Amino acid sequence: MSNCSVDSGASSPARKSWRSDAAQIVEELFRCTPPDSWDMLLDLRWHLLEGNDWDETLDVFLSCRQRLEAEQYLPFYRLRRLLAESLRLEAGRSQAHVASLREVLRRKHRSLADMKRTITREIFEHDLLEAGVDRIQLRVVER
Amino acid sequence: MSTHTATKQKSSAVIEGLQTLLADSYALMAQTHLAHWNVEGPNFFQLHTAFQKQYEELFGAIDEIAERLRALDVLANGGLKTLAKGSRIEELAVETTPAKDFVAHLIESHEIVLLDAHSLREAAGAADDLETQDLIIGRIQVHQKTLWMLKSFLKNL
Repeated sequence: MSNCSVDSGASSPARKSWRSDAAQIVEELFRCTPPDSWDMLLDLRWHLLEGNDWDETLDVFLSCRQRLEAEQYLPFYRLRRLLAESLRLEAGRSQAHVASLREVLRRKHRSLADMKRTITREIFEHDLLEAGVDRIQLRVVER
Repeated sequence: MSTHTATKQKSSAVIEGLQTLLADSYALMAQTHLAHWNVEGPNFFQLHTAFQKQYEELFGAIDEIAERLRALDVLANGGLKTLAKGSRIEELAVETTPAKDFVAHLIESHEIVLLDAHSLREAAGAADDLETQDLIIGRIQVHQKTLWMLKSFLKNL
């Protein structure tokens, strides 16, 4: 099931600004990363500039990060900061037990699925839901 | 015979630039101090010591910037709240933070101060205020050197 962010229809300057700032950071990575990572970076750049499914954007970001962060810590720190400032995790009634996106992005998740599994487990441990795992609808939305 | 003492007209751009640099340098010092206290991990000793040297250097520099304002017969902004309001540097949340994130945050903070210093260097030059310009050139050198060191730490070699 694809996740769409709540879109007001009009792009505010602030909204455009963080997305183009993030895309610019990705563009700078082309100069200092191996060519076999460029497809993935192009994908990330597109999602940041044009995408409207934040789950997918985060998934692509996590893949790029897993591959490139060791050599490019600072650019990925900047991207994490921008994403954490501009997006948030929404978990409905379980919201109280969900860590902030900033804290979650500090962890070394390989993918969005990996991230959601961990967060769901944390929610389960707090709420002691018996068969409620599939009732937790975790999604990434724009602030 | 009359004596003529040349006086330079105070440049509002220079004054404003000095106040901004003061506020951002103060915020950077506070963030560096926070990193010094709360850094953890295998590189604790080297980072703890390095951050101390950096905030001590900044403490001296802040005094020089404030006293330059006084030499220009302008009251220097001061006090935590006042300086925080005047700064663009974000504060890190007080929470367990990876050492590399402390370093990255300080890099971004130094970059903000460097932008302030570059603008102020130009403003001082335009106002023919070579004394302020001299002070700021010194600050630029220090921040560039600190940035080189912090960025070197993040390299994965």
